[in-house]
Amino acid sequence: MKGRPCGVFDVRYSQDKAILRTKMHWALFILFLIFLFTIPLFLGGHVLSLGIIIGTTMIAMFGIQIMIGYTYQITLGHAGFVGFGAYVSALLMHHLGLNFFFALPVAGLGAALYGLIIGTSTVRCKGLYMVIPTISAHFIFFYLVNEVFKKWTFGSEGIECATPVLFGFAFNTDLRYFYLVAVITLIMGLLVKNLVRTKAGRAFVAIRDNDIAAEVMGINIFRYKLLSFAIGNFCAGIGGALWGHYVTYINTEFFPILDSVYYAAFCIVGGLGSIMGAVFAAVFWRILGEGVNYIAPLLDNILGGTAGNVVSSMGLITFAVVTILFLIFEPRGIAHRWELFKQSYRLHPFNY
Amino acid sequence: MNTFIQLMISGIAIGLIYALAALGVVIVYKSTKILNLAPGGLLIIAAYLAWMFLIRLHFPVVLAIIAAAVAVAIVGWLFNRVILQFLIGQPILAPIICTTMIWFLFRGLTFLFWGGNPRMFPAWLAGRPTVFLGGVGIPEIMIWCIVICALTIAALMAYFKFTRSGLAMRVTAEEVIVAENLGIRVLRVFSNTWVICMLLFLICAYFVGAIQGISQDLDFVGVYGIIVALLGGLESFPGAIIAGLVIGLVQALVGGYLAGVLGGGIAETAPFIVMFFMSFWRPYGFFGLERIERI
Repeated sequence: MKGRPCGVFDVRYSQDKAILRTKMHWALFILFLIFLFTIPLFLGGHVLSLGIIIGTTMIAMFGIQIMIGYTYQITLGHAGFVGFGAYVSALLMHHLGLNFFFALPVAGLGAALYGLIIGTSTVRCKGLYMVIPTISAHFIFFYLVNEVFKKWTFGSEGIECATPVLFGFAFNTDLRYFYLVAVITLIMGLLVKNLVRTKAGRAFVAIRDNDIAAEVMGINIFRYKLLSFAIGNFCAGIGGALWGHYVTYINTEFFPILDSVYYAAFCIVGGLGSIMGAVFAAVFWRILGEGVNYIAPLLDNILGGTAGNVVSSMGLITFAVVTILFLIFEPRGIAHRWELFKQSYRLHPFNY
Repeated sequence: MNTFIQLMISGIAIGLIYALAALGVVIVYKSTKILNLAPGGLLIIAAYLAWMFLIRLHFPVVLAIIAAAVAVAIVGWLFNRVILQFLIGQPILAPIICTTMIWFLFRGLTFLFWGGNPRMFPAWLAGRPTVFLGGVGIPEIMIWCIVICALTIAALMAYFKFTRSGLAMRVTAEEVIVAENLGIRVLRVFSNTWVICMLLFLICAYFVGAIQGISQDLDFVGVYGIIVALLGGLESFPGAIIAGLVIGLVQALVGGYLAGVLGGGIAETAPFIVMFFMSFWRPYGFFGLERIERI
């Protein structure tokens, strides 16, 4: 069990189960909420759009945290599921004219259903062999969109995503959309945080640590692996749908196989097996990407003459180098450092 | 019928290229237990190095090939010594992500140095004519590809069978700790493995580059190499070769006959659909070892 600050004792079960345990905790959380909901009013459009993208990535990252961090079902097709969600909601709104707030959960459920179909392969597959069905899922998604359902998805021409409207209130500016994403991200974060503390979450952890032992102890591992796939891809679908309606136009090139790998890679960078890890992962990934986008043109000016090669290759090189360095020097990710920091804060005057 | 023979030949040629790439994955998995998802990137860097020595630096042909072989061998050695030897024994996700990231790294680096425009090998390699055998037009490069790939596979088998370092590699593949106790330098064996793997990719790169031109899109061959290795079984050489031929033929025939019915993307997607259903039937591949696990 995680440590408590000095002098804090749980005397009731409700205290033991609380997510926010101390008054300090509550104060910080409320401050954070106030900060989150007021600061956008003073920010420019660019930072806001970065915030929105971080939020949508974070939701998808919760999903991959459940799948890899908690159940260790290695998935290299997450961007495919994100795209699946985005397409489901775009199609529903485009062809059936449904409301966004109905299409969003359906997008999640659609991605979850696709995840369930892919997840049935866990009946025989496990460990590194899970790479096969998940990568296949990504390519089959491309094929479905570009060839099979071309009539509805317009193939590689892409499809427009309508602006979300709630009771006549359109989320058509960055500021409004930011609040929408912030609220949904908070709700999803709370759901996922609670999920991993339930029976299902403990079953996931048991499967991660040793699936044969888990089966011997009476956990139906196939069922829980499927559940993990469904929940993970539900998050992916929600994140994808939110992202799609922010950029207002999607086609399959927005969901490259590259992103699938980045989801898994940055999940490690953030820290496996903790929800905070997913938060760090999303923030770190998107801010790093933004930094690269900012620095690459400058570098291009300095190096010069290579016809934009620096701009297009810098992201690949930076992400690869950062991830490899993390894997070698800090395989437990940023979340581990955060835990160490919290631990030393709790014990502050003493060092043990 | 002529179309069928043509498709068969090109399927076999592509299949053998896939088989070579898959062997690069298989030998690495056998000796280091790392699933090498980097063949895409390794293929790109090998192709660009080969191109650099041939065209940019104007080396004579034989010298250029030798220089390229030495260069890719150095890349493979560094790859093991700088990065991958630290990842042995870590959870399975770490090497998977790491090798994939190395793929992206090489993709980015080649883009940085040589740009995104497709490059061509010189005419003696890329501009081979089409020969007609009994009315069937076959690109000559395909025939060379089949011959050289078959020879390479035979040479690889001979290396494992008859040389001392091949024997050391086989022992390491069986059990690392036993190999260490027998006085085999395991780290050196790992480095050798990566060097051989890179040389295989270099041979792939010459042929794929001759057929398709050199660009960052070559990594698709690497992706199919991974698929082939998984389909054949990660521990099996014959598996990789057979699965390579199967995937190559499936791709050629499906692309040739079904593209009109199922859309143009089916040739690229068919191997993945095969793989997906394969993971229900035999997730360990045709010839892979099914591990018996204990708690």
